[in-house]
Amino acid sequence: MDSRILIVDDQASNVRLLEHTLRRGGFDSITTTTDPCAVAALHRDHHYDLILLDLVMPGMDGFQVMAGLAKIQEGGKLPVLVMSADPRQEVPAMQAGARDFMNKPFVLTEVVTRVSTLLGVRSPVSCFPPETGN
Amino acid sequence: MSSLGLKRRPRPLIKRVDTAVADFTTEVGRKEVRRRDLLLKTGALQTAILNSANFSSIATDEKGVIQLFNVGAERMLGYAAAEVVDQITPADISDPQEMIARAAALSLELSANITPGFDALAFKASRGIEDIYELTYIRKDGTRFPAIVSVTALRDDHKAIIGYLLIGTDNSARKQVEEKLRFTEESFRLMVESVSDYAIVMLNPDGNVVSWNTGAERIKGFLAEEIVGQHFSRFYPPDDVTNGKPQRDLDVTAALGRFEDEGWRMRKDGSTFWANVVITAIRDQAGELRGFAKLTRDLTARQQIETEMSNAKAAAEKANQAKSDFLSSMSHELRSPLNAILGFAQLMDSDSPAPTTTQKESIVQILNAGWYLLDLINEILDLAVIESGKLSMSLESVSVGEVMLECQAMIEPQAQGRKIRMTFPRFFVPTWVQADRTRLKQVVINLLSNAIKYNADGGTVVVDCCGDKTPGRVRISVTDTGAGLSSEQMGQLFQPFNRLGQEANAEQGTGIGLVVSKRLIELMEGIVGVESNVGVGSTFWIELNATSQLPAVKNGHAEVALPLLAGAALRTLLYVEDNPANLKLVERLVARRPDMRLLTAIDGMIGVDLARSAKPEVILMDINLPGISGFEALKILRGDPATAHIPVVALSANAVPRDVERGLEAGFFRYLTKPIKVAEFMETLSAALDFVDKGAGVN
Repeated sequence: MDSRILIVDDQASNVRLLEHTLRRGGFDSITTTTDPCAVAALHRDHHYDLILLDLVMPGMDGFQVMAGLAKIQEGGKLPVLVMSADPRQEVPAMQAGARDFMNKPFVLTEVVTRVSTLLGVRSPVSCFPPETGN
Repeated sequence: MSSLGLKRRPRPLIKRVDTAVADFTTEVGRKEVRRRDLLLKTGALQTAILNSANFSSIATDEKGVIQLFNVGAERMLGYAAAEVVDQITPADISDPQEMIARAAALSLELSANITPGFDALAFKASRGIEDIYELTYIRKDGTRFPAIVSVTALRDDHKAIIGYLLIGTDNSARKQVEEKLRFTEESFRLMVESVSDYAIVMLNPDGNVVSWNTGAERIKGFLAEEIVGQHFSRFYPPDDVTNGKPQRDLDVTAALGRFEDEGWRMRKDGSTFWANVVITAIRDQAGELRGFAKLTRDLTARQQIETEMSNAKAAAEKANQAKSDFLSSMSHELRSPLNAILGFAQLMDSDSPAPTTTQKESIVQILNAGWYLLDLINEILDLAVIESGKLSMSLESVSVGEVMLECQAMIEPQAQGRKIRMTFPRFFVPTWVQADRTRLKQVVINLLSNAIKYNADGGTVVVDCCGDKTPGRVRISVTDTGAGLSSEQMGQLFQPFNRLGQEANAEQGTGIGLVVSKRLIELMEGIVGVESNVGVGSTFWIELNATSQLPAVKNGHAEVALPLLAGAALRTLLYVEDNPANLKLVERLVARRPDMRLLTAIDGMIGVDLARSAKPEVILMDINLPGISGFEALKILRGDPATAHIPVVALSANAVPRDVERGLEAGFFRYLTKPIKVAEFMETLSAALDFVDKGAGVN
């Protein structure tokens, strides 16, 4: 699948986890960054189809990143899937223009499903086992 | 003071007696006829007076020796006239100490040398001075009584003293009253003076201090002698004095009778204290203002305590807020590393090459513990949010039946794992309660989950719902066949981290769930209760306000945020399912999409027939159906050109990866596992419709 995806999280482990998950889900064109300040410029140059965005980051939080993206993109929802460890941020994130919101920790299958849905592609559910436990 | 009236009373009587006796002694030489009548009259009067039992009349010669001792004197003093006449003087039957004192006092007063004895009694009268005084008579038997005695000199025609008349009355009763009054007044005065907690100050009508007690001395610092006579405005701070508050307070008191105030007052040393002041106007019987009684309490200490208490309360609230903030930020901080743990464990779980069986077991342990930890963190976050008062509730009419069905669908797999049979109520009449839908579900799930966790394997859970226990209320109860709770254990319920059966540690749980449930239900104006029998089981119940109003239809839902398809035609979803709970749940979910309608079939063959006739856009297929299975039904649909293009989504409780793979290989569009996860379901629905819209080929 050639949708261009950008993963933004200050924690390298999260970036790595998401990248692995999406690659296994069949997404190949993935860019990552741990620097929230770089997002706007990256998006201006590469026009990502979807940006997976963390909220709590040093220097610039996810809301500020979205505000920056809103200046580039005119109108409509931002191509942003917010991923936060704070469930209370869901409504503020959606109000800030995000297209979707996911809680951390997440079920990998769900990440792929959500990303696929947002990109309008079929998700290969079979590459993950169903949720264990919970 | 009050003896004045008494002193006056005998006066006319004494004069009458005086005259009568004088007439009697100067009878000779008067004109015969006029005198005779008069004599008869005065004789009768004299006799009556002398025989009066209420007055002791004692007449003496000029030396004081008793010459006449009337009936009243006999009665009062206990002597017969014969025993005293020509024998003694009135001084002999009077208190000798008093005689000495009187002699001394008179000597001083009149600058004369007066000896104790009869001289002391008669001296004033002998000088023509009216003399009425109190003395103590001593009876024949030695007992004493107070008397008021009037002494008059008796004179002959030449004004020469020929004797004295002492008319006396028994003063005992009056003396007793006086003594009692004196005692009362003295006690009261002592009491007022000794009170040290209150300043009790008497003011005259102008506001000058008249009396000053110990309390006033203690509170205000002035000694009585320093302040008596001064104006009470000295106790007010300068500002109050300047704007005329002291006089205003007195005016108000005079007008209303009583005035109470709380405010700053000043001590002698200029320091201020917080005072409670009550001023009462004192009026005499005629209503004339006689002064003010002023009662002052020093409330500085109390005010300090109040300030300290309010500071302590604020500190406690701040600490509690800090605790809530800490818990919510902590739970957020904990979720981030947990994301890595759960995420990478999931990655390993699905790695290729696949993990070995032992590796797989380890991964499952990591995942189970991780998800459990996540539940725990969520509960703590919930509790923190509730306790901080920041939880927003959206109360609406909620259908108990619908909530039950959704909960049943979510909890059934857990019950099946323990082989626990669950019975849910059937709703013949729709039952509505006032609740926050999501939070009510959370509570019911918590109760159901506990009923399963703490049940015996193979036990039962009975859910009931009744509206007749309390009028206007609906009660939902969950009864298990677990070990039951002792009364001691029941007392510990609803307390965070007091998980019962912790010693056994057979099941995971923190007890926070119950605390959260209780708080949530209370926020919905409901109550939570429990009844239990050891060895039999427990019943946990919640009671909420019943409503008859239908809930407002809600299109779209914040937690799913579905993009609405503008102008799209009505789409049809066919759901083939034999489980009514799942049917109901999907019906509800589809209702969230105004662009969709739902058709249902309860077995595979009916489903296939319906698909052929209704041509639905999407089919949702249960796998374990009565009659033909979902796989067989799919095969028939795929074989029929009329239905071959329709995406069919599998829905199954078989959650083993192999089943999922098998399902997708067989041609299902997606393979969803039960219990239905709302977000996943809604997205799958959207994806399937997108798929149809894009005119993608047959799957």
